[in-house]
Amino acid sequence: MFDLTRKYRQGTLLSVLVIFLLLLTLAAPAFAMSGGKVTVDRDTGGQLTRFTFAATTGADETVSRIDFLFPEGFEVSKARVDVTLLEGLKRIDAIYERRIDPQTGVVTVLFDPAVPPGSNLFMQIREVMTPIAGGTYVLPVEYRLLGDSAETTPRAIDGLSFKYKTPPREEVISRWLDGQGWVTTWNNVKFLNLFLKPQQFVRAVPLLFAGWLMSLALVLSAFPISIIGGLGTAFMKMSKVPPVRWLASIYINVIRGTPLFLQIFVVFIGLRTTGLRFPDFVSAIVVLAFNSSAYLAEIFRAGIQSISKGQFEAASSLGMSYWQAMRYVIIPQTVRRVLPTMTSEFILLFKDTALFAAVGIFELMLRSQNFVSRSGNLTAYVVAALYYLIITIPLINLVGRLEVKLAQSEHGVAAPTIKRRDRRTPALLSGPDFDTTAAKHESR
Amino acid sequence: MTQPVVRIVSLHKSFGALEVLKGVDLEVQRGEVVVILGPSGSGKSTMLRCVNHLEEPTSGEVWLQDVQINAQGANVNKVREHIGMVFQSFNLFPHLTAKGNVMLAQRKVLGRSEEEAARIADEQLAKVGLSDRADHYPSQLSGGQQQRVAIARALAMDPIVMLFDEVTSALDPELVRDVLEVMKELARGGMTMLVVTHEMGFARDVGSRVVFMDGGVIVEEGSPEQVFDNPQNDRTKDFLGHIS
Ligand SMILES: Nc1ncnc2c1ncn2[C@@H]1O[C@H](COP(=O)(O)OP(=O)(O)OP(=O)(O)O)[C@@H](O)[C@H]1O
Ligand SMILES: [Mg+2]
Repeated sequence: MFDLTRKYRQGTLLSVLVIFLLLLTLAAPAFAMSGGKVTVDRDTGGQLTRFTFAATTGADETVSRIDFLFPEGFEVSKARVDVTLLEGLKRIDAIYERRIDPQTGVVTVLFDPAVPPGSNLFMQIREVMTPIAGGTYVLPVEYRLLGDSAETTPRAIDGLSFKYKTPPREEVISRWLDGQGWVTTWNNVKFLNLFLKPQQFVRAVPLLFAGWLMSLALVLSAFPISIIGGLGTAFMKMSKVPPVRWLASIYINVIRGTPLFLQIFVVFIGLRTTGLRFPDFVSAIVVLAFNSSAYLAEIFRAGIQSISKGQFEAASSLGMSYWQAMRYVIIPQTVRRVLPTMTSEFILLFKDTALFAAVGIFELMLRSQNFVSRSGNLTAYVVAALYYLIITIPLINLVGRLEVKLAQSEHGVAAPTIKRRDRRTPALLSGPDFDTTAAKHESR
Repeated sequence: MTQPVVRIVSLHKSFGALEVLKGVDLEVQRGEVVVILGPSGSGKSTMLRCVNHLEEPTSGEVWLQDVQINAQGANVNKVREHIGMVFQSFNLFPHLTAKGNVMLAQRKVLGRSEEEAARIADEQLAKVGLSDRADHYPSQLSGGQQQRVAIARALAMDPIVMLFDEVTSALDPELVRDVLEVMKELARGGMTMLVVTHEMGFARDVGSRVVFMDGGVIVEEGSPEQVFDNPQNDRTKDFLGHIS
């Protein structure tokens, strides 16, 4: 009982409040056009935009004309106008005429018959070209009543504003491309449209840049660690102590004998399930460094063993210890010899960063994949390829030049054929002999 | 008799089942130039390499003055500082200039200062007639020049004894003379030397003693005149007959 009365009382209180508020809002239109509001259907500038204007005419106003005074920079010459008029909830036919002054940016709508008082007015001004620069713009709207003479100062609705953002540069270029004849012709070729659509290209370049940086960061962080790890492992492999040698062998063989893809999954998913949580970036570097160390170890070992025994004996006979001989005689020569192979290894490792797409690291590959799946266009893959090539082509070139230099400095002594990673990209790993002779002929 | 610079006692060396040295005894006195002759495979190089422990003797003793280099726990590196060795294949460090080659061990092993090492390197390179090649890399030098740099490199360590293992064998005939000249000069200066060579002229002119090896043993030794003009052993006779 008690509860019921209380609910009832609350209900009446609420209704009274609502009615009061309604009266408040209805009270205002008695004097002027009210509830004016402008919205735009685009969130960036520089494109054809639809403006929506809504207002209620005052109770004593019979509106015969509305002027929209677009600010400077707005292109209205192609503007079209739609009007919907409601009297209460009843739609009434609006008969109107549209006038445009492209010079001043004024869009005028003349109503005949005039809009009756208390009408809800919805107007759409379509195909207005907005300036690119974003910000908050004020749109002054003026109106005149039936019977006002030309001299009467028009009434104004103040404070109508709308805003949008400046589009990113690639967006602007892409839109510009949309309007170019050659682009249309280009895109009419199915293949070009699918793989090299200019608009997609322009959009993909900045979007994939971050991925490129990520890929680079991964390999640049991992590689120095691999060099140290590889050297350490190489010396372990050459150790006089059998168990140390075995340990190195097992490590090298397991890493080289299994796909990097698998190693990535083991570390990422394995670590997650054991509850050890590292940042993905750190885990990725760990896998890369672990993987690459094994390959570098073999490259270093082969390089060290390719130095003639006489070098070590000469150093020893001068009283140098094993490590002195290594440090001052063997390693410096090894570095020169393995530099080309090491560079090739770096190239491979850089490309291998693509595998991290599978575990959700936003490197180049994953970004391009996302872009492609969103746009349904393959151009992003081409952009990604270019990003890889920016790094790999100069390095491939460098490998060739290093090999020539090495061969020359060793005076006809053939560069050591160090076993290279056999699994990928044979083009990269063409034999040093071939490369060297080819380049030698060139340099003559 | 004074203490010998090098003393080899009952030296045996086997490579697996192959016994290369079958009991070699040799004493080298200060200032002596001992020339070692013998057919290929007789164990000359192996014996020389046992002297500075590049090969580990299977049994026997190798002494440098009062230090037994093949003793348990001997500081081999320390002993090697005092034994210069020159190889048939030069073995210069290709990543260093001639001067860099001569300086490296002075700096790292003897701990000499940069300036001192450089000064000594210049001196030694001048001695072997290569002052103008100091900044050349080995690949820019002829074989004879490389070998002389290698000699300078060994001499810069102030060795007590120098070991030469067929140092002219890899050289073109016209380059041999320069190297032999340097070695003669060195001998005249009183350096103790063990020289494996096929240069009979050098052995006769410079050698204070000639040792003939065959089959892993010393079969004959004596003054050059004795060995060359009046060899006692048949194998020596045979060998010398083939040579001259
Ligand atoms: N590291 C080694 N392992 C196995 N056998 C070896 C090794 N070094 C030398 N030998 C063998 O020992 C024997 C003697 O070699 P060594 O080089 O001492 O002879 P050499 O008298 O110097 O001959 P040459 O005049 O040809 O230089 C040869 O049969 C050689 O094959
Ligand atoms: Mg020999």
